[in-house]
Amino acid sequence: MNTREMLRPVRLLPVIFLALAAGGVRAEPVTYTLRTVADGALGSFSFYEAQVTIRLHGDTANVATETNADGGLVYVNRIGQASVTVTLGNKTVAAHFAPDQVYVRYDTESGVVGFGSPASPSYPVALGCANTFNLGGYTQDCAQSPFTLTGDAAIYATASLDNGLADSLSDPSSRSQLSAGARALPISLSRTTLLTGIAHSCPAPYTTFPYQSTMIAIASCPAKATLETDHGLFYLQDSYGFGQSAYVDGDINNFSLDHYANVGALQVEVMRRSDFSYTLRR
Amino acid sequence: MPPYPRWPAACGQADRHIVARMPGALLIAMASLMFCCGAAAQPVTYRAQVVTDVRLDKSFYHNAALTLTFAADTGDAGPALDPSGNPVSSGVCNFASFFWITKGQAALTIESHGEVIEAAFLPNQLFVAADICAGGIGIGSYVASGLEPGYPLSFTRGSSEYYAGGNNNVFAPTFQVSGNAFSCIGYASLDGPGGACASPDGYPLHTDRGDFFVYMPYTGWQHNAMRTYSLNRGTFSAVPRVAQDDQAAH
Repeated sequence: MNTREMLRPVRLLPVIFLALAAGGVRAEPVTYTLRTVADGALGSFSFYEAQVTIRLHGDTANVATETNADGGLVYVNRIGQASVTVTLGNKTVAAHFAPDQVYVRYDTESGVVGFGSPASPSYPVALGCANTFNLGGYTQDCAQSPFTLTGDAAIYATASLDNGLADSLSDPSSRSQLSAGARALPISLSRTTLLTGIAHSCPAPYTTFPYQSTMIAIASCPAKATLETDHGLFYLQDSYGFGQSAYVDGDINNFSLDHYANVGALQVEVMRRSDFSYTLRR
Repeated sequence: MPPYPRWPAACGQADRHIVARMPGALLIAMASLMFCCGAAAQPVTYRAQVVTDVRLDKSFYHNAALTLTFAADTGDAGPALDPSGNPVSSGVCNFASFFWITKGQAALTIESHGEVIEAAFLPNQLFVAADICAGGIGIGSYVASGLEPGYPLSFTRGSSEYYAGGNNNVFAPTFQVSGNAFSCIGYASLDGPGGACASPDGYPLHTDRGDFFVYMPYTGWQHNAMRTYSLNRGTFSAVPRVAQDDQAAH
């Protein structure tokens, strides 16, 4: 038995503890609402840079725990009524997903959260994925946040203006840089919280192409995966994904690609009104 | 990130130097001229959305879904002016880069735990503004300093920055963007050690249902840039308004 294998039970202790804690949560209605801007289609309605809201009404009793490839804790809620609403100008189209098409997923270790599907745990939308570019090329990695990167990649990931709540809360070393309100947010799918980040709306890694003479730019989504709704097939496929150019010359061989990407927020709202909406008494 | 129309050399260093030497009146004329083109007057409702903490009268809502709307007309867009009548610069570019629409009707919707609360702002408190140099857009107010583009709700970074940056048709009748959400009184003071937004508690916005406040509880501190940044995200959009919308509003 090597050292890694010997340490595995120890590494899993927090996961076991948190899983037990999650299991002890009372059953309460919960609504997960993810809002972003994206490209795609819903039935015959093709849209480009439209407001997309994906929502799942469920119950906190159905929040389950899993582990990611590194043994980190992942919360999922697969049971509930899921819907999608797309608004483009004056036009709004809404639909309900067929059963087992989407679920809520929160990888608390990587800080990646969103809606998963049979196509991918990070599709149709994932918030907080890592995006890096170095001399080896562009890497989209929805299994880790910018904070978990090492080496050159970490230089541009630490406390970046582009990091949202999802990845910032996952990094213990950065918590001291967060406001009290941010630090107080539960890392949970069973309690009212808010998780934000760069939005990935693509079932595959984004592509890049050369931009001017020294940069790459404008990654786009090369694939689409359809999900079934009562309004026809639904998919998201970012036409222009990430706009930040990356310098490939000189010493700047690594740069965030996130700057101009669409962003999003996942609102977790446990319907226990008396706890969260109250009258100020000053 | 969509290929929105942009000025070819927006914020270019040469442009900044040339513009910085121009007298104020010429700047206003130029800005108005640049902004006039391509935007036929059209009724539009601008909509800013975020999940954050808000207070309306005596009721506080934690992580409520907030929607602010500003019903305006694109024909009223023009360069933003300070109280002395001078064009406003973003501080990033040395030319008048702020544009706004001050004429319009503003309203709010709070959604929290199944409850929906609506209120109308009293007149002459809010405006829609865009900084086409730094790339920001949102709904600002006249509170505090008298010109607070970051409060109650504005956006930068993300597709909002790409959209607004260098866009001479930034108040177009239809668009949807997302960005880092700021509800910040004193946005300009975020730079430097100890930079922070002022508490909104002393700067009420008045509505027909009492005073209204938007908080910004989720921020971080970036060491290398010495700047407080927002961890929250939201969306900003423009929706063409048709005649029946106006009739229903009255």
